Amino acid sequence: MNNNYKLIFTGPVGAGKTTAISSISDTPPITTDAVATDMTQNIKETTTVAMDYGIMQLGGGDRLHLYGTPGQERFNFMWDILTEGGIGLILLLDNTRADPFQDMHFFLNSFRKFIDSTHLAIGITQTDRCATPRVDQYQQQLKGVGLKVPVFEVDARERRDVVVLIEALLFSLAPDLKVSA
Amino acid sequence: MVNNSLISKTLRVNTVGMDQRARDALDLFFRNVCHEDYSLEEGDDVDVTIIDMDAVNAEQLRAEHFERHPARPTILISLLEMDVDNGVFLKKPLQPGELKAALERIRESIAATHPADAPEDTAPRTSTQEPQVSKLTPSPSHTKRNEQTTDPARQNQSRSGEIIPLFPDVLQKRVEAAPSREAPASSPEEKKKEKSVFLYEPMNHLQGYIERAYRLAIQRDRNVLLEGPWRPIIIMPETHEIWVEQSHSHLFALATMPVQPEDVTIRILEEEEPLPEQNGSIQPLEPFLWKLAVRTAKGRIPAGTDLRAPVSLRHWPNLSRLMPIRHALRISALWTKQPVSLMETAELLDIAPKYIFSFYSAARALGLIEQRERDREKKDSKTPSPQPPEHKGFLSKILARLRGRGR
Repeated sequence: MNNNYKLIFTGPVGAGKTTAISSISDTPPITTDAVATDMTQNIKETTTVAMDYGIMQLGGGDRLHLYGTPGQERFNFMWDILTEGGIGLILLLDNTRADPFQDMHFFLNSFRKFIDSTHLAIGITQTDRCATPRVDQYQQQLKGVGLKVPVFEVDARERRDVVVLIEALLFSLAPDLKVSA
Repeated sequence: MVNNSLISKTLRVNTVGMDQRARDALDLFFRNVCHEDYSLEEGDDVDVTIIDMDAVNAEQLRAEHFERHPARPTILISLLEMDVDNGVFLKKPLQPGELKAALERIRESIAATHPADAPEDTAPRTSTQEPQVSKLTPSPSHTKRNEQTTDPARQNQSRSGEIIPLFPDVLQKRVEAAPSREAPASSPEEKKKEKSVFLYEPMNHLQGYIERAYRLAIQRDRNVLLEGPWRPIIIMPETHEIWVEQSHSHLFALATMPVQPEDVTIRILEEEEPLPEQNGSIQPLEPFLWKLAVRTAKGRIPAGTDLRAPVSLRHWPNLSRLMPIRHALRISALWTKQPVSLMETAELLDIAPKYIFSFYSAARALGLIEQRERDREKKDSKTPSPQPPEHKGFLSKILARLRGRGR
């Protein structure tokens, strides 16, 4: 029997969700981009209006589906649908945004039920352009809401960074996890 | 009446819970260094037993041993200090002189309590007939370990397959290569080197001084200058950065060199004092300190660390930007999930202690370690394994795929 699981990527517009999925997907991800017409156009020319989709073939017919949620809040009705059957959440936060902490708390609240039943790993992008807040400051914020999760600086274009973030999520689910033969 | 024949005979020794490599080292030590005054035996009909208390199921093995041989002279060895009610305790790494002295005292005790013509027996003795062997090392605390199911296949394996040398490296090599039949005398220099095999004192090294300077910088909210047998280093608390003039390769070469306090100056800089104009570079403090701690530790642990006290992390280290340590992700995942001792971590994750020690040293340097007091009253102190998720096999496949193995 083929097994299919999901890994969800979320975060605000421009945080690097589409790029991160591209860096690990076996096939070029399907993106549903459109020309940004709202305030998003100040951040990017295009933006994801439904979702990104990528896939990792695991052999033996098993697949890991990679879903990137749309970044705008008005699409949050899709989030519950997307997270169903997911193994965990990758939250990407753009350090150059006006209030990254506010962004973080927004997504933590929106996905809290899913996070509590699975796990979360947070990637902070654009730290080369804006070094603050620092990772330890994000961790202080997370302590305030009772979460102890991986928070790593990540360049979403670098496969190595995305991989280590996902590995952290996997080991959070099972610290004694080993590579299958 | 003293049995003189016992004094001159080869004392037969067996081991319990000792891994093969340690047994080989002991065998070589007896044959090459001890003039065959002792012989390592496979069977149970021996004069002395040495129990390795760092074995996975050491407590159970010890209980079974004393049930079978309540009066047999026994030497217990461990990395950690322990209180022993019956037997002699020797701390690892074993000092050849101490081991020989313990064996000779046992020999004398046996000879004194065995009448010359009485057959050797293993029957329980009365307390007056018990060989009087005294502890060679003071043992401030009693360690209790949880009993585990005996796995015959693992009885003589040390924890997680890690080869912890029986003797310190410098002597291990000598034991294996010794042509001489003389026991090597440990000079004060060698003794010092031997002790440093597993433990180190961060505060006596560059790492410790940087930690001190950083704490002062945070406290005073000012840049701090650190001078010593290195080019000037400036700690900047506001940005969590460090200014260094010397190359990393030079600085890290100094990492393991002990530094005397009188050779170091820590100075708080004036608010308006600019950074030096010489060639220097500013870099994030955390990756620098993490790497320095790993290089200083070299697989050892800071002195005073309790290997059996539960440890947890305040939060995950920023591992994507820190020098990789093997198994760092797994250790971080475990220590943020539940408090676990260093030795139990090795068991639960089935990894060599040296990686755990390196990670512990680095995380400690960043102030991430929380260590609780060991609960000495708790009988069942074994930490349960984390509950496995239902799709663990699938997660393994993802991991393999991410690491480029398996499609």
